[in-house]
Amino acid sequence: MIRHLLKLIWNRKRANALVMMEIFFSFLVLFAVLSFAFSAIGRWNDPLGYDWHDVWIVQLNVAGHEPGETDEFKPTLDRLLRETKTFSEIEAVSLADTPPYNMSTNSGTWMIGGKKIRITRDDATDGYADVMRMRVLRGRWFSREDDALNFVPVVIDSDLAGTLYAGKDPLGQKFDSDESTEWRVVGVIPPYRKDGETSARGMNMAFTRVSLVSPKGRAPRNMVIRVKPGTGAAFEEKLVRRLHDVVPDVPFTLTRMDRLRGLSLRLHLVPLILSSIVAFFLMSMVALGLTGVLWQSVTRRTRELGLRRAVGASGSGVRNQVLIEVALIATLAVIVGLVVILQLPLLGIFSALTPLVYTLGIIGALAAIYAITLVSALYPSWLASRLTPAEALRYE
Amino acid sequence: MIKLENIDKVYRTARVETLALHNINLDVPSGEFVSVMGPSGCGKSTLLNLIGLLDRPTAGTLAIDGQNVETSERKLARVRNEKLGFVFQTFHLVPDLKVIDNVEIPLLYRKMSGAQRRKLAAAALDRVGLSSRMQHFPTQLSGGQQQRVAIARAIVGKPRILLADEPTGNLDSAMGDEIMDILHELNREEKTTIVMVTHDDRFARRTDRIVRLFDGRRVA
Ligand SMILES: Nc1ncnc2c1ncn2[C@@H]1O[C@H](COP(=O)(O)OP(=O)(O)OP(=O)(O)O)[C@@H](O)[C@H]1O
Ligand SMILES: [Mg+2]
Repeated sequence: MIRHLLKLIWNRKRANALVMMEIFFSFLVLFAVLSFAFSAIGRWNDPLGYDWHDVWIVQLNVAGHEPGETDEFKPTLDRLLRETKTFSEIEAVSLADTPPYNMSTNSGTWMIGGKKIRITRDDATDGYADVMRMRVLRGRWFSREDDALNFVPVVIDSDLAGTLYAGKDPLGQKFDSDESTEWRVVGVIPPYRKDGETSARGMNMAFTRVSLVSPKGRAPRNMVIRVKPGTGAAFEEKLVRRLHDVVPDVPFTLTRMDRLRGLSLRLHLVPLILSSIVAFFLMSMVALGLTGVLWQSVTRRTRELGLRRAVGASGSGVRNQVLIEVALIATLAVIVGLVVILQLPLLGIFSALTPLVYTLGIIGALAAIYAITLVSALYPSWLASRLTPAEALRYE
Repeated sequence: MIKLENIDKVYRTARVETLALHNINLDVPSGEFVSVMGPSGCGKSTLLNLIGLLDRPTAGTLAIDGQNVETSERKLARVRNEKLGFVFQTFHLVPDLKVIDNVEIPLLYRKMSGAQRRKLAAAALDRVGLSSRMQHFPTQLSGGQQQRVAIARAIVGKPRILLADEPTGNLDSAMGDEIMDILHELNREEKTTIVMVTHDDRFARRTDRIVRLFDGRRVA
C-alpha cells in the first residue's frame, strides 16, 4: 500500500509540490518561532548571578566627569557610604554605575582575534559583591588592599572568561591597557545577567574596580545598598533624611530594586509579548493555509475515494489512506526542512540557540507540523468517507 | 445469486423526497446475464448501486450469494471487494496512476504480495486485450480502451458478479461492440453473473433477460 501511495504522490508531484512547499515553509517558521520561545523561556529560569531582593538604589544627581579626569565628588561619596554603613538596618553598601534592571547599560563591541565580541561593563566599588550577593568562582572580588596595586583589577563573568581566554587561566591576564594604566583580571564570577530574567545569553560582563582613595577616575553616582529583610518605609525616610544632611545640595532619589525590576521586566516583556502575538498569528495563518490546501486536495479526490470504496476499501480505510498519504507528503517536506535547519549551526546562524533549545525547537516544530497536517486532512477526509460510495462517485 | 425483496429507495434532500425505487423484487440466478432498461430517471442506476452495495435501501431486503447483506460498513466493503465488480459509464479511472496500477487497486484491499498483485493485474489486462498498454496513463488511451481497463479492474479480483452501469454509454458503436463481446465472453467462460444497465436495444437483446423499470417500478 505504501508503494502504491508513493507512486500516487510521485505522479501527482505538481499538485503535491504546492502542499510540500507550504509544509516546508511552515516547518521553518514553526522552528524559528518555537526555538526563540523555548530559548526565552529557558533564559527566564537561568540563574541571574546576583540577588535583587532587599536592595535599594540611591541615585545622586551630580554631574559626572570624563573618565581619566579627577572626580572631586569622590570624598563626598566616600562619606555617604560611611554614614550609611552605620545603620543597623543596612547590611552592605557600594557604588555602581549601571546596577541590574537599570535602564542604562554600558556595552561595547571589541575586536578580539578577528572576532567581534559584545562586552557589558560596569564600574563598582569593593562592597558591590556583598550587596548583590555575588558568588566568586575563581580568584576574588575587589578589596581595599587593591589601592596598593599598580594595575586596575577587573572581575569578569565566566562567559567572558571563556570568550577571551579560552583554555587559559583567566586570573592575572591582562584585560586592557592604555598609556598610563593596565587592567588585570583578579576574579571570575558566574554569568551575570544585567537585565535580569529577560537578558540575552552571554552578556560577557566585566566589572572594573573604582577606587575612592585615588582622585583619578570617575566614580559611579548610584549607591547600591543591601538592607535587612523586611526593612520598610519608616527606615527609608530616616535614611533619606540622613543622606540629605550629608549632601544638602545634591538632589537624589531612592528606589527599591524590586520596583526597578518590575518596570524593567514590563519594558522587556512588551516586545516579547508582541512577538508572541505575531508568532501566534503566523502559526494560525500557517495552520489555516495548510488546512485550505489539504482540504482542496482531498475534496478534489472525493470521486477517487468513492471508487476505492466501490472496489473494497472501507470508509475508515480510505480515511486512513488519505492520512498516510498526507503524512508521507509532510515527511518528505519535513526532511527537506530538516536538511535546511541542520545547516544553520554550520552557517553560524542562530548560534545563540543552545543545543537543547535547538533540539526542542526541532521536536516542537515536527510535532506541530504533523498535528496541523493530520488535523487539516482529517476533517475533509472524514467528510469524504461519510458519503456513501454512490454519492462520492457522483461528487462534482 | 442476487435476490431483492420489496426494495424501496427514497432520496431525501432538504426540499424534496424522491421515491426512486418502489417495491422492487428481483432474482438473478448464478451465471445469468441480465440487462436493465427504462427511460432516463426511472431508477436504473439506483438499482445497480443498491445491488453493488454502494448505497443502502430505504426498505426491503437484499441478499448476495445467498447471504443477507450485513450492515457494518467493514463487512460491506469485504463483500464489494470479493464478490462484486463494478463498471461505470464514466470509467472512474484514477488519472494519476498507470493502467497497471489502476487495475491493481481492488487487490490493495486484500492480503497479497506485490508480485502476486502485479501478476493478476497483468492477467486481467491480457484478458481485455490491453497487455501492451500497461505502462500508459489513462488519458493516453481511447474511450473504449479506458473502459476495457475499467473492466480489467472489475474482474481482477475474480468476482462472481459484475455490475455494469451503461458501460457503452460513452462509446461509439464499434467500441460498444468490443465491450459487449468481452462481457459475453466473461459470462460464458467464467460463468460471471452480470447485471447491465443499457439504453441500447441491440445490446439488451443479446442478454439472457431484460428487466424493465418505469418510474421506480418494475414493469417487466
Ligand atoms: N443522490 C440523489 N439524490 C436525490 N435524488 C436522486 C439521487 N440519485 C438519483 N436521484 C433521483 O432518483 C431518480 C432515479 O435516478 P437514477 O440515477 O437511478 O436514474 P437512471 O434510471 O439511472 O437514469 P439515467 O438513465 O439518466 O442514468 C431520479 O429521479 C433522480 O433524480
Ligand atoms: Mg443512470
